[in-house]
Amino acid sequence: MKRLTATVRASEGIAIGRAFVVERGEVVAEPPQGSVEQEQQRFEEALRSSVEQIDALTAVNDVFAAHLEMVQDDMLRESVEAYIGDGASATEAVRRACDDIVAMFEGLDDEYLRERADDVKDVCSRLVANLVGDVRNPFEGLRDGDIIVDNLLTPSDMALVALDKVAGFVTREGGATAHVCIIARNHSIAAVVGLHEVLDCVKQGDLLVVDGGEGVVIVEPDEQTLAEYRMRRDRYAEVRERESASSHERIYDGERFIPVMANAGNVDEVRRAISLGADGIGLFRSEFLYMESAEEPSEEQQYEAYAAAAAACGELPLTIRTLDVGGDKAISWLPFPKEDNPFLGWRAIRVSLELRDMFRRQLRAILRASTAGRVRVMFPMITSVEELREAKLLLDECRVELDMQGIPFAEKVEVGVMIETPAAVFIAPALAAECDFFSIGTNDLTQYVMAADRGNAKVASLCDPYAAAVVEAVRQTIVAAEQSDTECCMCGEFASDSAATQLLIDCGLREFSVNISSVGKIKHRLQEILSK
Amino acid sequence: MLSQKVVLTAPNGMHARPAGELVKLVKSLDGKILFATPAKQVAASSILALLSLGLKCGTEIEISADGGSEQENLQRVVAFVESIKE
Repeated sequence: MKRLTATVRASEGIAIGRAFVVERGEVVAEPPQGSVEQEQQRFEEALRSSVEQIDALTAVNDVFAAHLEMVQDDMLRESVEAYIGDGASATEAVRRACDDIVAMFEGLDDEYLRERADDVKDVCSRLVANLVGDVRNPFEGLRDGDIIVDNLLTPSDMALVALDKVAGFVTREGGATAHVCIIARNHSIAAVVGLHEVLDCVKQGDLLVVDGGEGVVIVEPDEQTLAEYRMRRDRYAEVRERESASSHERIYDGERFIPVMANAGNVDEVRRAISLGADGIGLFRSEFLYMESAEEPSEEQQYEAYAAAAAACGELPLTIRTLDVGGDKAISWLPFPKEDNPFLGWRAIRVSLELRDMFRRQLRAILRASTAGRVRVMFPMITSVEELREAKLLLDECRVELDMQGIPFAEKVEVGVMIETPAAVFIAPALAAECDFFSIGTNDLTQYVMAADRGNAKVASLCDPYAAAVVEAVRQTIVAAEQSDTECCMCGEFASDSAATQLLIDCGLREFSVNISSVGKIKHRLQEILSK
Repeated sequence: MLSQKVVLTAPNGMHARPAGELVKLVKSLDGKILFATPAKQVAASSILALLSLGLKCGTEIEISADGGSEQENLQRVVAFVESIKE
């Protein structure tokens, strides 16, 4: 038995299985097969094949769009051509050019950027594979429940792996932002990376225990260790299962229904959230439409997106937050003035109330989408009753316009206010009297209440939603909502934190909107708390 | 040649995906675009060169447009860099 420990946390979970050590054909340095021109020609052909292969992969993962640029990069080509000109074979030239570029990346002082050397290696090994005609799948022979062990798993490798078969991943190289970690986390597969001695200690077919949460790999465990990890694996799976079983439950506090909705940024996310059991969408960030396009999205484009999202929700509510830009969120086609304090500057409702025609187009699109489902509209960064009134007035004007044009919309579209500034907390009773619901945005509320920039490492510790002042602001908001029968939801990160659920229930919160992946976790936690 | 200084605000720095998109944009323009840090200057039409600058969140970059419709090219590249949010 041998126990190996990595310092990087790659992907949580416990896996027990046989090692599938990936065998890579060792490419030996070869003398040129032909003249300089012929070697250039071979490189061109390999490049063409590689471009075709990578192009076909861009549909699998966005990262391949970057690979496509890399493989056709002038820097790579010039370097390869120079080595061939010096008498190297095309294969040798690609390997040397790759080493040079990797060395350049490895000198960078940022971990994430340093790890992009992996992408370069991936692209170059594809070129080499095409040059030597080695196109076999390195994962052939993988059995169900195997643990893949390799020096490095590149995006190209991961596109070939049958993820439903794999129990775990262990690699010698790589850090927390390596592609394999991202894929493993998204698919809840245990992984440990950056385990330097792994290839020396693990043989083909060895029994392995992988504990991704602890970064531990045990090679050929003894009976007692194996029994212990089997138990831990089953317990982990049980908790997971309970959480996913909870995700479709409706949670009640006595007679009162406690909706656990989800936050979504586009239509696909809405569909995923609903299929996972979310009780609606408590925050639909409309920004994505504005940020993804090269100009302002038309009313028609917006209508289509909102209507598709509303239809995906069926009977459940879709809460559309009107454009929230400024602060840390910029739009390429919308010129923002340079500001000394962007978080205290021109953002969210302040932008909408100034660029009224743009705001009208959004409101019209939202109203029109209300025929497709249960649409609610929510205004961000409100600091006064006047702002709310102005926004509601515009909404009413849009209703009149649509009516006159004979365009249908639902009779009732609820109007809500984001509570994310201290000002909104202080005037919560007045706001509650003029809207249908509140949604507490804890991320901004925390930094505004604590006067601490969450992006500034020196004061980030102050930016704590558990701080007494923030909890008090939340409590006051909920009390104000209750007194005027206004619904009150929380859509900030705090709502997704299962360690905070008890505290929030104690504050009176009875409506949550959480990250899609936290729906099951929060529902399960609520069941625990409310069954007591 | 026109130049403008920009501070990169993307939390993850200039990483593979946005760099790929940026190179695509630069290649579609009718003039050259250069990125410079105090350490070195590279052509923004090469993703490897761009990534090799190691542009982190907070790095100041001097972006230059050389040839073609310089003003418009510069504006578009600057707007793109400022819009990277991942």
